[in-house]
Amino acid sequence: MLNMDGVSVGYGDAPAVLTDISVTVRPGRVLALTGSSGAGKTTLLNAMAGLLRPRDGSVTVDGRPLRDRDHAVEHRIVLIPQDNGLAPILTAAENLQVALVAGGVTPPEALRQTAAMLDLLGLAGQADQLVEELSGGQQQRTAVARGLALRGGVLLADEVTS
Amino acid sequence: MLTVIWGALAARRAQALAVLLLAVLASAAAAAAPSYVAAAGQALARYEVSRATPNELRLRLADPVEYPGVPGDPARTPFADMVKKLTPAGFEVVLGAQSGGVAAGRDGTVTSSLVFRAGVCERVTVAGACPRATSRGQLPEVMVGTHTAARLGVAVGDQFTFGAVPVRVAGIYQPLDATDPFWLGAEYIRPAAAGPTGTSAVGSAEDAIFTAEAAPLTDDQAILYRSTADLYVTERLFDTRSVADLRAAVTVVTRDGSREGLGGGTSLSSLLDRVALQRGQLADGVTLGAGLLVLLCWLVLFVAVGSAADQRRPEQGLLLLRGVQRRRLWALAIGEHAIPALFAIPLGCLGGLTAATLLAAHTLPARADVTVDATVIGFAAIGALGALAAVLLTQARMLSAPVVDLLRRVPARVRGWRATIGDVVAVSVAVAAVVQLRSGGSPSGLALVAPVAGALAAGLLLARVTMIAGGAVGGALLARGRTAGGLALVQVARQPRFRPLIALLTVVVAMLAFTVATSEVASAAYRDRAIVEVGAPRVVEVGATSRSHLLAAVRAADPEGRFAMATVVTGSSSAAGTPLLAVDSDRLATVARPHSSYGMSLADVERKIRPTAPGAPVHLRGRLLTIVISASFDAEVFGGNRVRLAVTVSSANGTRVATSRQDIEPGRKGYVLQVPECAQDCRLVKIDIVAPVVSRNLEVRFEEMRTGDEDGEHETMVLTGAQFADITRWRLTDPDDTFLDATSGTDVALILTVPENRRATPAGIAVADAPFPLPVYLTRSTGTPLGGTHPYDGVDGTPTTALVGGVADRLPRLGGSGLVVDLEYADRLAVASQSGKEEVWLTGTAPVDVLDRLRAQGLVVQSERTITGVRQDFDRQAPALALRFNLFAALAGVLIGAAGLIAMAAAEQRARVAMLVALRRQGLPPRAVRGGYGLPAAVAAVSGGLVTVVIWLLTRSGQRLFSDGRSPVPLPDWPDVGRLLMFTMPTIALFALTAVVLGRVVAASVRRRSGR
Repeated sequence: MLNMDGVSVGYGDAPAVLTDISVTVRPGRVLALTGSSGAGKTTLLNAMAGLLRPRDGSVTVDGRPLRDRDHAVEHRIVLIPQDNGLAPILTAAENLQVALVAGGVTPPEALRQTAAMLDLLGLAGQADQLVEELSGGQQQRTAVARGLALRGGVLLADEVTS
Repeated sequence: MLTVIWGALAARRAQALAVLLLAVLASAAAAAAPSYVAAAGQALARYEVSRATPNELRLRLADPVEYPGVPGDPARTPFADMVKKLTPAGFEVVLGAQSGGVAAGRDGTVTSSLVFRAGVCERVTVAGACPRATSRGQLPEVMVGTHTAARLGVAVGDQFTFGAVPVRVAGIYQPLDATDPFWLGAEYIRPAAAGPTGTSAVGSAEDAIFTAEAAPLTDDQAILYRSTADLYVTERLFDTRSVADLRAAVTVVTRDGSREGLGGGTSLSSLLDRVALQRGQLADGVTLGAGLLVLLCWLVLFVAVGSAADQRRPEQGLLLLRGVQRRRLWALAIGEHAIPALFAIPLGCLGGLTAATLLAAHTLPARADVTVDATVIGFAAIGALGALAAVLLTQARMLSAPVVDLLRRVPARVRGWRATIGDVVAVSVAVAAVVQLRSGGSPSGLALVAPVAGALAAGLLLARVTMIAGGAVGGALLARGRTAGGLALVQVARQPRFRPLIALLTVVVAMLAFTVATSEVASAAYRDRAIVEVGAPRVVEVGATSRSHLLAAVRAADPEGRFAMATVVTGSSSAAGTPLLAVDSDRLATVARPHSSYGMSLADVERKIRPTAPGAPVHLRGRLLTIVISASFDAEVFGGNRVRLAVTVSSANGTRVATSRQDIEPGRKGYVLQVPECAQDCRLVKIDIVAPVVSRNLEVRFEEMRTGDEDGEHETMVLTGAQFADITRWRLTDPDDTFLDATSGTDVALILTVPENRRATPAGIAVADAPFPLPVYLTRSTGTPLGGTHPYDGVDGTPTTALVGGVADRLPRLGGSGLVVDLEYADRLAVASQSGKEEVWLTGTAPVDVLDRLRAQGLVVQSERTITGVRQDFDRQAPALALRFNLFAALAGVLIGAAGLIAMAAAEQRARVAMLVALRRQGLPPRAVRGGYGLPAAVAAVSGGLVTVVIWLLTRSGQRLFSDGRSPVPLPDWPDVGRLLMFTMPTIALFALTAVVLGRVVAASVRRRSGR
């Protein structure tokens, strides 16, 4: 369970973007976050993903404070960023493979899961294409495939359908 | 537009600065070459001038008319006016006048010249005073040399006569520096004659006798003199005027002087030819290094600016999307980079001059001035404009790409013919250059840069292979879960901009290795050639009265044969002839420097060319030689055809034929020959019966030989009849047409039979005191096999035959063609005095007073060469100077390569960091974050090595190492690997260190942005 309690976040010395936010993400539930442009949706997701350290309040995973993004990865908090976060010099499959292996999956298993997930998202034909050679939609689906393949306890998807 | 350009420059200051720096580097590299060539050309000219013979430094004009009187200063004569009119600017003129004649003093006479020469008093030390002008009625004053004074028996204040004119000795001079071109070599200060009175003092009794400016005579007709003018070329002239100018000036002076009726002569053109040749070779040789530097600078710009341009693709795409015309984008791109390129020209000139000055100070054999001229500015402009072209070329693809393509973050891969056109051009140029180089002749044009062209082509191809292989291996590693290594590989292999960088680093490593290898081989070749061409650590050319004098003198100077050896070297005048080296063979292995290229051991040569002599020499002591002969021929039939007796004797003064005053007549008779040279000791060479027409058989019985003096005292029996009759003592000089026999009993004698109608050459018997044919060691190149006979010109120039006792690949002093004989045996077989160069070979351990010891034996020391000196001479010639520039260029290339790696990393760092940060956010562990820059460095090390081998094999034969062509000694096939590694390993280490630092910079940046 991912919990935010009275969190305030901001960038640098600028005033806080979000103040006193409390959110609880429960297992098996889908939580949608809506808001106007610039409302702070991405900032909130970044704080939940461990990318932004809260100025006030706390972010906890299963009751333990979330330190940083590596800590979040250890607790299987998966992030699909707004810009897809894909490495352009890797193929679609390699982008999944690298993330899976980094998450502790054995290479053969990672290969299998990569193929299965890309197939699931209709990208079997693009598996060996460099990301730079994929269309924008295909790149987005690749990012989603990577997020799903990681089978996180929490999946944070930022504007994945835009 | 200017505002936009200025804005672009301000916005991309770092890139503008990088372009400026790299364009300055290219411009400086281009400017350094002509600056260095100009400076080295000056140094070469100075060096050649310092080595030139005096006659090569001056042009002589001589008055066609002889005037009566003592030679005086012609400065106020029409001749001097004419000379002044003809003399080209910059030449130094020495006016003079001279008259030949015989000087007669109290103690003797000497054939000499009475000379006025302007400036002589400043170049001598004088006991007494320099001659002063005298008036009519006074004795003319003269200055004589030390040797002349001794010969004439005069001192300061004494008188002697020159011709019929009495003169007074005002002073006795010694030249301050006899090698000063002022003395014109041996023209005024004659070399001393060899002989028992050998001395270390310069000059001889025949040295010029100098007069004052004016000395009018009462009887002007007594002496005739001719005015002369020597026009000297100076070092400064070579600095300020081209060789072509000087040659034209000499031609004009010679032509106009001839029109005016002046006599003249010069060997100046041979000096000009040498300087022109050396300068040409220097310019050609430096082309390689200059080409390398400029190419590397352009490549670095191509790599660095291309990478930066790639990062701006979306920006360009957006501009086009907003309707900005492409030509405006082109104008912006040109303007943005043309400004740094233009600034680079003057800065490059300065940089090039600075580099050339530093290089000249450390590499040139003589002082040289580095200056700016139109050529330097032109080359700097070419370097800078080439840099601009390279920059624009990198952007051409981007500026012509479709908008949709520009909006992608990573450029689409180039496919089809466009992808390979660059490689095809590079390979074509390389092939053309290599073919041109290997087609023979003097390298020119493209062939001069064949190694660079080859390295670039091979580097591009290997970079292509690396990119393909790196991508495949990287992909495979990623699939196998080796994320760190796989990512590092694909980051480079899938980024097309790394391909020119890899090619660049490959070229840098290969050209450094190639240049070092060439320098190493050149150094070894200079050493080898010096060893073979000089023959021994020190070789002193001497004057001796004869070969036997040379042998005896050297043996006396070094009785134990530890450090000196007499040699005579003869070059063959005919192309088909075989050069000869005659050595005192017992000392050959001790004194000569061995070398692996000889293909034989000097000890073997010693043994083979010095077998035991078949008999002992016949020595004579006495001024008169009497030979008792019983001749038998029909005097009536011979009629007026004389039969004469001739004896060849060899003494310390040479070999001479003495002929009996009396013709040989039938019957027994003693024939007396005058042999004054045998008063002390001489050696009988041969006895000839000279009968131009042999009408009937002629038989001569040699019955006795005696020596004695004119007064009939000290008569000594040299050979009795029985000793004559020992036919093993003799060798027929014409074994085909004459016969030798001996009688026994009471009328024991040696019988020489000359059959009738024999051709008209002397029939004779030679003393068999040396093996005949003479055993020799012969070079393989002559084609005569071991045990065969080889015709050659003997040590005295007489055609003869040798028995090949051994075959060598090369011989000391002679190189690839020649033969070596024993000097003593060769001298015994010689029938004439004529000799080649007489030399004394010395070991490095010869005592310091060895030259004095040789002089004490009557040898005249003329010149000296050492292996070290000759090697240094090679090291001062144009090819060696060009090699040094090329080595400097290759070392500078290493820095350019490192700069290229840094520039490339700086240009693409942002994108790389962004990608790695994105991957870190997906869980990529920190240890997998690597720069990947080690790959280009590692590939450069391997491919650089491969390319070095390829270009070495293809182009090494075309590298000029000697200004006079090829060495007679084979060049080493491969350089010393240790020294090669000494240069290349630090280079690779530098690249590796740069890669590590750049990787750490990337990792640190990723850590900062990803929060860890």
